[in-house]
Amino acid sequence: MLDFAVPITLGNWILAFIPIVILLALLVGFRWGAAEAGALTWFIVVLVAVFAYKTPLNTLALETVKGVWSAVFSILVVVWPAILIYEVTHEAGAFDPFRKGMERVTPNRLLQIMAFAWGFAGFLQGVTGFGVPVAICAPLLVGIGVKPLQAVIFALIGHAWNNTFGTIAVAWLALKDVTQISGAEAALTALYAGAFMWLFNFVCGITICWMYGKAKAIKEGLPAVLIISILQGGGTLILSQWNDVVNGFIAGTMGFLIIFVLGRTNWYNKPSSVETDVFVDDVIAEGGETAEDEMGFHLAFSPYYILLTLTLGILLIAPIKNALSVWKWSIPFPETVTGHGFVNPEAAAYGAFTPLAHGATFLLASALIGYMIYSSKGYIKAGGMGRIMGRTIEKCIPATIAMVSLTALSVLMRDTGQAAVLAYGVGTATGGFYAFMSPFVGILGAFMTGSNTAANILFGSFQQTAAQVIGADEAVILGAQTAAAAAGNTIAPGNVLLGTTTVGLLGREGDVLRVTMVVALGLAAVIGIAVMFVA
Amino acid sequence: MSKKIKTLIFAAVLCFAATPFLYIGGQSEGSGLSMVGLALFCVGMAIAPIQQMTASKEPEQAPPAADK
Repeated sequence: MLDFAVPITLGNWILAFIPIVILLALLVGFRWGAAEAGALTWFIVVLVAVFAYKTPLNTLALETVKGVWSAVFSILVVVWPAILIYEVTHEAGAFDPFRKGMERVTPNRLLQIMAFAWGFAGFLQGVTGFGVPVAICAPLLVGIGVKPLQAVIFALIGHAWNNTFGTIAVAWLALKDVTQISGAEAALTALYAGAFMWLFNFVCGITICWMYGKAKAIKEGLPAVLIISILQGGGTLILSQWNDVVNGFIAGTMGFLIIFVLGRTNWYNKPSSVETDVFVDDVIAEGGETAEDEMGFHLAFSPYYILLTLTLGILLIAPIKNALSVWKWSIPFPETVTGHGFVNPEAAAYGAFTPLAHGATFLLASALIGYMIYSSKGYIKAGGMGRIMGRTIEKCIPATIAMVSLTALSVLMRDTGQAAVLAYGVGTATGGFYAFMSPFVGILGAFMTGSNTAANILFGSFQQTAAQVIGADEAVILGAQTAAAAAGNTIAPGNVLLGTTTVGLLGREGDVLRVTMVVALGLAAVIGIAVMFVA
Repeated sequence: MSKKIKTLIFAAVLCFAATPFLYIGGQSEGSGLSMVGLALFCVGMAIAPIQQMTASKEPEQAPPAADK
């Protein structure tokens, strides 16, 4: 069906699929941590690459370096300062006044969770991305009393809907770039992508309610879910026909701000009547009163105000962003080839990192300024810096091993042709049924790369070709690709790790995946059915 | 700092130390440097799973209270 350098045989397909099965089995079945599971799976990917995909030593060496580079400058640069900002806030004792402040915005705990996990996370995703929403919102949810495991799941599910048009639409622009679709086709693709993501967005809200208190919580949360979803999902869809670069940001902002209005309504200006087990028990009974000598809400939130100011001030003002984006760190790589003739072109500036215009730098600056503010007000006690750094290092090290191994194995799978064999194999085997499978390819891309953008780059042109071969509507298939890749961010081990690390749950990635996999794969199936009818 | 974390720091250092060998060896097609880099990286990668497998033979500890 499709022309491809590596022989698309059942044997090659199974060999490429084995590492994914083993990784998931170790994480979900055996409950290994990501560091241990990722490292062991890396060895298996290397064996497959060398013996089945004919990868020479120099290619193996260079692809490993690409993996380490990507791990450090794509993910770990966010993980390290995200842990630091959490530990600074924790050391200052700022989470308790912060929680009490939220009680004054709305005493309804279900809406409080929606505010951070869905509204604020979606807003942050609209601006910054790179995993920052998960790394920030999961600890904030813990700060208002949500149990760590549920906090990670909420943040993962709540931010992902804005992956395609968020981060100033970088994933969407990547899809347009690799597929070279015309303006009219792009508008139609954006329409389908927006529709699928609206569905995803609605599912986010319903899932949060379900986890909070099953059907009763859905009933209580439904007005908020509908209103927020109309603004976030509907806004993204409608605005995509006007401006497909800032629509995610505008929709995310509207969806976040409306929560402050909802908190004043008769629906949510009183405590939730639904019993829940997602909060730590001793927090439930406490009220929202603040003692005179206790830190105020705004002071408690000051590192996050700084983060917002830096992010909005730099990323949304083009001249400032452009000026600060001039300084880039990257690394050149020569062309690499496998024995099967799978070629990775020369990269003059691989994995460019812009230190002055990256969310990671804003996080680091916010953590440091936040420390100075708390310290100047006397909320950091003697020896606080030592304790902060000690706890930060303890959390950073396992996360570092995990990210290096996971990224190294995904880069190796991508650049030795294993990822493409998986996708092309699905396309070849399923034929006309491929329309249903197309969202699963998007999910696979995001699972392996941890990025909607990278998934679109990896599989965008393949999806386009597959649509042409089976005679399906390209716009529908591409819309499903990017929407599913957005959903795939909820199960990408790197993103899961961001959440578990920042809330101190490292090693419990499998427990998170048990929930997010159901959401992501279920959504892919629903989108797949819709694609079959529409395409 | 626990012994496990100290061992993982050593593993991370090995992985990062391997990258110059892998990069230079891979670019110049010098198999010696690549082999050294790969050996270092493999040792670094092996530490975490080995820790896991040896630890799982010990009695399981109760999960932290906050994780319930």
